[in-house]
Amino acid sequence: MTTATTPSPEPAATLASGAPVAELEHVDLVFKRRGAEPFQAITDLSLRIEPGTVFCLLGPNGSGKTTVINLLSGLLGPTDGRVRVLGMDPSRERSRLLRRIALAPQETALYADLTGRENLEFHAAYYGVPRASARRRIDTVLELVSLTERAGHRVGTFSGGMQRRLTLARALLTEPDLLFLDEPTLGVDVQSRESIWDRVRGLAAEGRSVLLTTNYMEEAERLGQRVCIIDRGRRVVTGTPDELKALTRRRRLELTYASAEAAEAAEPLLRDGYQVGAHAHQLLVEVPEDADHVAFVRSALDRLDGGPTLVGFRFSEPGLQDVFLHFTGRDLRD
Amino acid sequence: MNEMIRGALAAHRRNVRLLRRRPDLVAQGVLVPLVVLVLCAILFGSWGDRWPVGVIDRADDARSAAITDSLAQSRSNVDLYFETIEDDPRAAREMLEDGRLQLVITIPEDVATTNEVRISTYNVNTDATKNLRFRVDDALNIHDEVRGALPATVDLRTVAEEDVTRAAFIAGGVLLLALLLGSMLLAANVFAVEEEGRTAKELLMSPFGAAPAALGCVLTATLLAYLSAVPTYLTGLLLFGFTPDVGSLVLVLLFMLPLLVAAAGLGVLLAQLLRQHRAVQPPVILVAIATFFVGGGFVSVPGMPPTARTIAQWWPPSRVFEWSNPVLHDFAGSYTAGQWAWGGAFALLGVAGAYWAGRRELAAPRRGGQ
Repeated sequence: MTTATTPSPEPAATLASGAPVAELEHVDLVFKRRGAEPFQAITDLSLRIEPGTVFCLLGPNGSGKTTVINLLSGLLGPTDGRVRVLGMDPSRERSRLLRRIALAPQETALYADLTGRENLEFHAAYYGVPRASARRRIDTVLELVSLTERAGHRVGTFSGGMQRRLTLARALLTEPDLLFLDEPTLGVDVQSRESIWDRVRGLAAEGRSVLLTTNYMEEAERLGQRVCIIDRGRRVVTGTPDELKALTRRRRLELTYASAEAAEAAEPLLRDGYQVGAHAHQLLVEVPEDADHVAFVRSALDRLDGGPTLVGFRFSEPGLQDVFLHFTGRDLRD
Repeated sequence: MNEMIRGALAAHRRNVRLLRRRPDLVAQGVLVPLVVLVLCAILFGSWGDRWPVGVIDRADDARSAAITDSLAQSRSNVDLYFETIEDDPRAAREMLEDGRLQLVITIPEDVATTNEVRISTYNVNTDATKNLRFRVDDALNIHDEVRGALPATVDLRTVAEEDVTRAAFIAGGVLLLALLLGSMLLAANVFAVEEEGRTAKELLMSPFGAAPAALGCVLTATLLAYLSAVPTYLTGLLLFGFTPDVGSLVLVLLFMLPLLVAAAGLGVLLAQLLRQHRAVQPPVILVAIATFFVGGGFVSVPGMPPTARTIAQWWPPSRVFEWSNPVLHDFAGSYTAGQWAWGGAFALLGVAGAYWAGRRELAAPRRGGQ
């Protein structure tokens, strides 16, 4: 496992005070349970969330993403290191801090036997939203997530995507300065995902800060102004999506055949001298960093001459998925 | 403080909505007391004070007729002692041996000269047999008194002049059980909903954490326990002759208020500890039923065996039955000041326990993604 440092300097803080909205400095967290070995959940983790940005925390299952949220919201205290959120220490000023942050948890933690509106009414009252403005806010957030029509139905009848959207609406009710979205599009359909993404972008445009955890590369790439990859409780790398992609200069030549069998038959022709792999009806050929692209293509095509008919070819740029796999490996996680 | 109260009221409103739509969370508190009531009625013959006996009159003369009359007329202040269900010697013997008849009274042919009747008992248990013998002795005393043969009288059968039927006493005890059990189970169930629905984190992310929700559960359970006990009350009223004086009933219900708060607080604590309402229900129900029988719900504590009396002495919930039954059945006019003070103290403990459980939720173990 390689641990890289941030490839570029942190962007200048945009808060008037110059302070980040949230910051972890060299944080360690060790769980100690009676009769069990201590478990180091977080190791020397530092990160910094700037105001008005979407900060994505990307990591495999069990990498510690939710634990970071629990640290930032004061649900857990660090064993070592320093945590500051909106200028406060979450462990000591938790009650005050919780008035300014909100969480849409990983699981759609809603009351299935209440209607969508009743869920929001309870949340508003419990979180101290003034009664006079609660109804207006509920109407507004329902509208934002396109659930006005279904607000009177029990949540148990909602689809997974609708429940996710309602969870987001609930988090927005208190108009937080910092919003934690814990895997907000887990298991939702494309339409709901697009809707949630639009809302997250809107939040950033309004000047709110968002910490979004995800294990979807596309989500991090499309939403995150900055992305931090963590694995096994350690920061692996932080940067903008482009900065991270630049860390692996893995341009590929994608050769497309009519069928998987054709691709498989062509693969031996390139085996000697090329890094090649078959994926369905495509052959993926690694392009060396310093290669002359035209000469590389010509040479490869010459090799394939006489093999199965090639349908097409193109160069593909490295994506966050490549970066992610590069840094976290391919081992399955618990 | 206002926000804490507002949070508790919000949780209460939510709980009421949830309970209206989740009958499974209410059912046990309603059904268990009814089952206990019916079981008591069936197993212990609660509907009457009469015991079924066999009376065999071998003499068939004026003396034996007088004895038979005495047996038939002897009674406590609530009902007759005996119901003669068999007079055939062979059938009575068979029933006795099968344990279906507890007592056979045989009046021998020479009763006029020997002044003896014979009794045969099926030894169900020692206390029951003793009671049967007492009753026979009493009946024969009545007979002898009329004849001037034995001018002794006995007074061994009632606790007080206002004694009620066994059925009514049990129905009253079960009403108290329904209130306590209802409060504890409702509180535990609605608090456990957070864990089961994985909504606990939402509460913890609020400025006051889960404490207002815990207090809201106490409020809901306390108020709805009265409603959940209505079926038990009506069953007692309509089928068990449980007709308490309205003033006494209101007084008991008022006295129960702080105790229901305490029961609800304990329910929240248990739910916080055991996490799932399916884990909370069995121990709560079993302990409640045991308390009902040992703590004075079934029969008053002084009438129970020494071990049960000792348990009742050290088991606080038995005080609920001990203190409330006399008021409920008009043996006592009211509660003492000390009893009210204890009730208030228990209520405070209940509220404190629920608040602590809410605070403790922060340290509860979390599963992946929580």
